Amino acid sequence: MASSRSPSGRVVNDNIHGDIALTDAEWKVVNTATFQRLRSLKQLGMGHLVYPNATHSRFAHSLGVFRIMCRVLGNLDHSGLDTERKAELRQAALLHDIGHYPYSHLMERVGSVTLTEEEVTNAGKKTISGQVDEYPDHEELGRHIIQSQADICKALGGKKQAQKIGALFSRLEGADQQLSKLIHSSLDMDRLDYLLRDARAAGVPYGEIDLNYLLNSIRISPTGMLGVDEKALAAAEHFLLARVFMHRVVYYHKTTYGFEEACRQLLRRVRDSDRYNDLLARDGNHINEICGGADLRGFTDDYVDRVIYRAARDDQDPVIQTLAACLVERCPPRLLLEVGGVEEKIHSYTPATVFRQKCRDGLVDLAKRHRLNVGQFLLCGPKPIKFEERGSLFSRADAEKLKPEEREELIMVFRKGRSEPQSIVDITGSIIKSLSNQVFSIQRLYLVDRDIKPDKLERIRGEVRLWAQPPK
Amino acid sequence: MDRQQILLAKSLEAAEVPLSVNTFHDRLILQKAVYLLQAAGIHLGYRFRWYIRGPYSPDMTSGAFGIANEGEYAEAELRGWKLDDESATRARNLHSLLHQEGESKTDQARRLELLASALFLFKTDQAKPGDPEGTATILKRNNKEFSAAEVKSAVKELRAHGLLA
Repeated sequence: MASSRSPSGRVVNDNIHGDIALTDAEWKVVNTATFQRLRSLKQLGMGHLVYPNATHSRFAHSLGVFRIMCRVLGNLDHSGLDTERKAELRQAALLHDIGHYPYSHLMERVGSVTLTEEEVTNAGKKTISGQVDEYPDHEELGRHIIQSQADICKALGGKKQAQKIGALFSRLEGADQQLSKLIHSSLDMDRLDYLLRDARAAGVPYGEIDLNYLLNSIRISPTGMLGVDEKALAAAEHFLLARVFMHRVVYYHKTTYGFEEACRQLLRRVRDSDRYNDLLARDGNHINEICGGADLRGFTDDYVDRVIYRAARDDQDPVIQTLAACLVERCPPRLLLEVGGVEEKIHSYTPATVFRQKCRDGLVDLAKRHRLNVGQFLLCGPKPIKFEERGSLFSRADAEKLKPEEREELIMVFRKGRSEPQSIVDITGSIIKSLSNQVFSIQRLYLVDRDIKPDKLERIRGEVRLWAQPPK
Repeated sequence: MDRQQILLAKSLEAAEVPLSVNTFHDRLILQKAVYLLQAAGIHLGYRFRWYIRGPYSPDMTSGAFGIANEGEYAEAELRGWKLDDESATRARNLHSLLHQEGESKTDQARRLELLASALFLFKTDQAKPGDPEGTATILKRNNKEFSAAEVKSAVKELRAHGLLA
């Protein structure tokens, strides 16, 4: 890996990108306690429970994204960007994950979790409240952190600059929409780093993208549109496919995802019980309090671990006990059935939606017959993964009618002889055009019961399999 | 469908905004209506970023498409849920901001784009409600053709509905 020069002599060695050089100002940011917290956040949530080496941190990933941004900006020397703007984009890349929660996305999404009994119980109308102040997302929290933590605010050069950097990584600014794509789009620096880093850490080949070729092919059009040269079309397609493979194999691994879903449901239950207010943030306001003060130092993976240990040791609620024990003792939730896969997403009927409906109709009875608590079942569907940011939301014909503003996050490709790029889903013969109306979507049903006998488990699986039959 | 999608569907229902994703204007109206519903104090949990047409949430787009794609299955699931009273009241109070008698879809989309974009700029300290000319200039810089008079009127509407102090 080629090394990069540093005028300040500050260089960090990284297993993915080699030497990463930082300026004195960037070095100051990295050396704040606020940035160092990222060392204690695992990039892959609970992925290490399946892939033992997947213990790499948000800290390493943030440096990796920073390095990629530096390379891209180096390739865009003729873009008209001034030195100051480039420095801001470098800082935004470095800090784009500063607001991450313990175990990454796991804790952040606690409010969206539907408890199994909420979903399958049909006694009267259930109330959903829009008055719960849910946890803010990590970008919003990141903006709050860099403006309220004195060490990082000072390292950035004051509150005004901190606001500017926060606006860049959370895309609040109207200006530089194309450059914001470097941080948020299908071909953003975040994805370019995490696919490679996560694949290497997990020991799987699926995220091995052609990073150098892609980065060297990025250019900017006379009207400011970012894209890759047509010669890098295969590399861009491989990158998009790699993302789907990585979700299938690593991010949505049945065991990892089972543990994470058990943890999400556990956190939602204990948060709502009000018995853990000393350990777990009650709401978004409480999260902001923690992250705006000295308690941020302890807002690491250990923060969630402490909740799990307390629940396993002290909680009298049988479902909370069961979920906590499964995590503490590493007894994976048992997958009863997975339905779905890569499918065309233009009809309401899919095996996954039918299965979910059948679970809603039959789970209460199934639990009763097998003397289990409904809460021991985890009915969950990971976020569907699209091949391209917009494509799969539409039929292919509809995708071709999208307005320019709706295509904004698509990868753009410079065809030979053309000064302005076109989107990858419009290129005849590209794999992504063919797959643009496909989505990787699954539904799963797990059972959490560390003591279940194999024959009973098989009987339950046999019953659940019948729910995957398509309607006549 | 997760809790966020259920809340989205029930809030839109209370505000009488169709969860339709068929045309560009449908999707534009949906985006801006959800942004305004959140500003009115319904915690839907979507993060809006600044795009060519103002505040836009990719997650909201995915969530709305997810519901629309599930068709009758989504309808069946949603029938079991009701929105809490406070949120329902807030959504109903916004009705007259989101809809105007006899307005075409194109006009509605344009009006909501202005309301949401101006509010976004005010909330992120990029513009001031007391400076319609300055706000219109920023909007123009972002390829939006809204006059200072239109901005002024939008500020009045936002204030009347409690979205601006």
